[in-house]
Amino acid sequence: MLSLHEKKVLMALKENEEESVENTAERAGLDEVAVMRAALWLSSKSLIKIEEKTEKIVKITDEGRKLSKKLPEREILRKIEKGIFLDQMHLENGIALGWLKKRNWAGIRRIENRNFLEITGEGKNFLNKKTEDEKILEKLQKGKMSLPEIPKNVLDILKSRKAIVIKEKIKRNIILTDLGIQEIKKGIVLKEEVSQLTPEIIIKQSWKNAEFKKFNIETDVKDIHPGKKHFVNQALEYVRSIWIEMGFREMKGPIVDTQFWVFDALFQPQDHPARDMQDTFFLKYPEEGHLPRRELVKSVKNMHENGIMEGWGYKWNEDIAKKLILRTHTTSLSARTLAELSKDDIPAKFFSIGKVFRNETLDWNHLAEFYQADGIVVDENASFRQLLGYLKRYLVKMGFEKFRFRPAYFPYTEPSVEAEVFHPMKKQWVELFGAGIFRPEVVVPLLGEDIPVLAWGPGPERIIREYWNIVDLRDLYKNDLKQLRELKLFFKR
Amino acid sequence: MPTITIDKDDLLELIGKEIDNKILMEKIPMMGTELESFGDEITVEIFPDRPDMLSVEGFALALQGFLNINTGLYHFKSNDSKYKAFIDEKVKKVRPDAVCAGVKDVELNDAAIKSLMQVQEKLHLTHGRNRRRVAVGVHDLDKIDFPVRYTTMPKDYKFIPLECEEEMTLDGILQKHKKGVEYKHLLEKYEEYPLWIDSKEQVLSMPPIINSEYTKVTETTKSLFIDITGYGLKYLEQALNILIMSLAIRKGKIYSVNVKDGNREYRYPGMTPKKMEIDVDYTNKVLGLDLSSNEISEFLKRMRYGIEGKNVLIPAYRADIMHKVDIVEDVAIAYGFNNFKPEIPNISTIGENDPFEEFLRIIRNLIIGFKLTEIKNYVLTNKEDLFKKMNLKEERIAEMQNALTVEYNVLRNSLIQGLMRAYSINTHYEYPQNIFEIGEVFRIENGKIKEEVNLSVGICHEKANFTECKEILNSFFKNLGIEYGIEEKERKCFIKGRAGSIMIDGKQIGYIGEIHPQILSNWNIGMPVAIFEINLNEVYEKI
Repeated sequence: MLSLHEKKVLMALKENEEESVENTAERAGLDEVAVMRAALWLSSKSLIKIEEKTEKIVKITDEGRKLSKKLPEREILRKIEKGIFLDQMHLENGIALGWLKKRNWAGIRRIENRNFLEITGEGKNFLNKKTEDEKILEKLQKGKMSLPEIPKNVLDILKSRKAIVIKEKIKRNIILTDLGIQEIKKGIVLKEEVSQLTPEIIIKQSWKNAEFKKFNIETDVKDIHPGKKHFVNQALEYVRSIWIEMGFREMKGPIVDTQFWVFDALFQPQDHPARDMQDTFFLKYPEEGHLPRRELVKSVKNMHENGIMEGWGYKWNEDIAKKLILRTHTTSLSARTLAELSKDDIPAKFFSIGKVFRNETLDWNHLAEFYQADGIVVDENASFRQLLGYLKRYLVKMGFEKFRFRPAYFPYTEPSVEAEVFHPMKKQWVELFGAGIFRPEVVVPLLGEDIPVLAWGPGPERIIREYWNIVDLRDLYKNDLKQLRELKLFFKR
Repeated sequence: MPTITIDKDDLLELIGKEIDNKILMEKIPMMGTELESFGDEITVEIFPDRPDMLSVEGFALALQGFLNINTGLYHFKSNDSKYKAFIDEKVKKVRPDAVCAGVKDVELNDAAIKSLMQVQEKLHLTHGRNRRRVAVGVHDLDKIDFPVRYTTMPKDYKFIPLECEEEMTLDGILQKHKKGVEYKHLLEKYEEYPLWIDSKEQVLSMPPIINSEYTKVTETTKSLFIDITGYGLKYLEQALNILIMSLAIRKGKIYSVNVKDGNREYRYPGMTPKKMEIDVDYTNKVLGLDLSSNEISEFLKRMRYGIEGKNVLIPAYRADIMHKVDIVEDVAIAYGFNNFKPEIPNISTIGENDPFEEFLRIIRNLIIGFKLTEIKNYVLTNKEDLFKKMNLKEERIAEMQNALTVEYNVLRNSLIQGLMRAYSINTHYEYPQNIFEIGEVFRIENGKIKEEVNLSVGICHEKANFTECKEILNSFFKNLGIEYGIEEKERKCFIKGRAGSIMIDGKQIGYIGEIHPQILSNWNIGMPVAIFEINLNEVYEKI
């Protein structure tokens, strides 16, 4: 199949089997670029050959244009028609004089020890006639010429006067091959060719008498960018779906919370190192929040001081519990949820996904602000084995094949467990998240009795980091548009 | 969490058996200690509830049981002595509690000395809350003339502190001595400072700062006197018992001290184990297992408990047993975390997203339909970004007291600054840059923090303007089926006459405008930007 342009080029070559691209273009009624594109296709089908020749081209320079307007020797020629003493002339330089002599248009005679300049016969001849080089210059003003068109002597003159430059140009000729000649003999029917299908073509059905231009479908196209969710949010949506699938209900709560919910309700003594200033963001303004119902506060206080069998043995301070902080874990939401739960709600399963904070200087491995996805199961029959069951399901859904559970310590769970996965590159076990069963000292004040509460708090950032091979944690939230536009979507089977 | 380093040869000698490296590396993490590094020296992380394992001896004792080499309770023999200590009434206002004990014939080889120093240092730091709650002093027993007394002395009282050549006043120690400077905040506010003094008026130590040179322990020391001071007898006794346990394992003979505190008298150390009834049903219920009482007893012995009939005997050096659940965890550890078969119970509960979160998901889906890229900024930011660069008047916002960096010391009250920041760092990338953020903002209302979620949309390219931005806003509300209006309202960060408030039912819920070129310059942005921001909690109420 030949395209319309290819057909037109072949037709243009019907009379002359060899033709320049320019001439072909003129005959085919196409521009030179279109002819070349068609010619390349034709040559790939062996219907034509493209022959390249380099040709020398002469072009006029700015100096040449000046000379063409005003040749210095010609200016003087008129002045010396009747002869003149050289010292009476005001010449800027010797160029004009030099050329007068070179062209043999004037001669010098000594009169009374002075130089007298007079016109020659040759000079008179050219008073009203143009020289060859002037004629060429005029021609060049209109357009470039090929080198052989200009006589050697003229070329030398113009070159020496810097009036011209000589350049090389590639000249392409299109030559019909035997195959091409046969193709023409078979007869070529020119049909309208459709490039972009338009409503007009569809409605008028003119495509019926036309052919569709063939597209080069392998050509690269430019990049476009879809609207896209932030990759961290994509991963968080997946985490959410894991818990929803397992029948967990979402819990929500404040980011800025009192120490009561973040620490005290979780049985962390007020002088516990984890409550130190250095890890936690304390608020300067507003400084304090409100404590919940009186009996809960009293019960938590009693638990800290006396425990169930044994407490921490110190005097619990309500003022410390009132202080506002940025939550260091979303386990505060689990505590709040338990405090609102009634007996009829049990068994119940909850999850949360939210931001947590550490007062740390940001570096490749530390952020001050990141996510935690907490889960709790409140069930009279819940057990440690079941805790491991939920964790296993989460790990499998997250795509981990090799993992283990080992003993751990958290102030508010007993037993406590750390989920670790085997890192195939580092060849070692890597901590993924902590879990456990809430201590009775945590549960009793919140629920009123000791019902097992399984709890865990994985941070999804580590998994997000692995998925996209992000080394520097800060790259998660740098908002680099190239990264956001190009990162592949989150998908796990 | 604290770590300790252990000489492997010393550890194996204490355990009394050669053990394969592979087994050690496998078992240590499963015992409830974290293996940090393994070689001739082993580094392990000790959980804060097990200060008894801060000593190499305590760690060895536990591992010996866990590996089933030697199980059950470690028996301490305490010898009576005529040693007496008096606690002066004066000290009650300063650093009220003290306990002490003697140990003779200790084998103080290099490893033992290293371990003793290490356990002291780590106990100070963790269990001792950096010496505030508990401080330990170890002395050469043979230098001391009993009875000793724990009292206070005026600031100009003098003695030679450890590793010093000359006497210093108590005040001088606090001001000039390295340890004094480090811990002076614990004493400064008092009139007099605490001291242990023997019957010949020789100073033993100035707790919790420093010991005296006089009772210094050297390689030739055979017998030790341990003083512990602080707040809360319980914590002091735990620390003393841990040290006594460590030294007893190093073949030391324990000699008790009679402590007279007012009209009460105590005999230390009290190494008698506490008793607790083994609750078989509870243990099985918590763990989801079906263990017999014998099996439970065996597991407990491996965790170095004693068994006496139906009771478990809790070693005196254990500081973490507050409830029977703590015993249950030890059963689980001895059973082996790897041996539990994970199960998901067959209970029916209904999964449910929080409706507001579900709403946010719908909003996010709608917005990406406008071909916008979502960005995500920290909620922590600074006033420079929030107000100054936006030419906005400073408002009351939530501020941090102790942020490590000034860049992140307040909570944002709006999102557009985050969009501007994103534009300012992406100027070398292709335009159009049309972006959005959905995130928490924190406003102050009547002195209280109100946490809400906002949406901000920004368009930025050569021809970005108010109209295009309003087109998105308009379509947004149409898709939610909400009627809205725009009222002209000047706002410093927008071009005058191209800014307005977004209203629903007469209430302002956001704003829209073309960013003023001066603001663009403040952020080094060379492209027009039009932005709107709305409060999604308000929008949610209208749906």
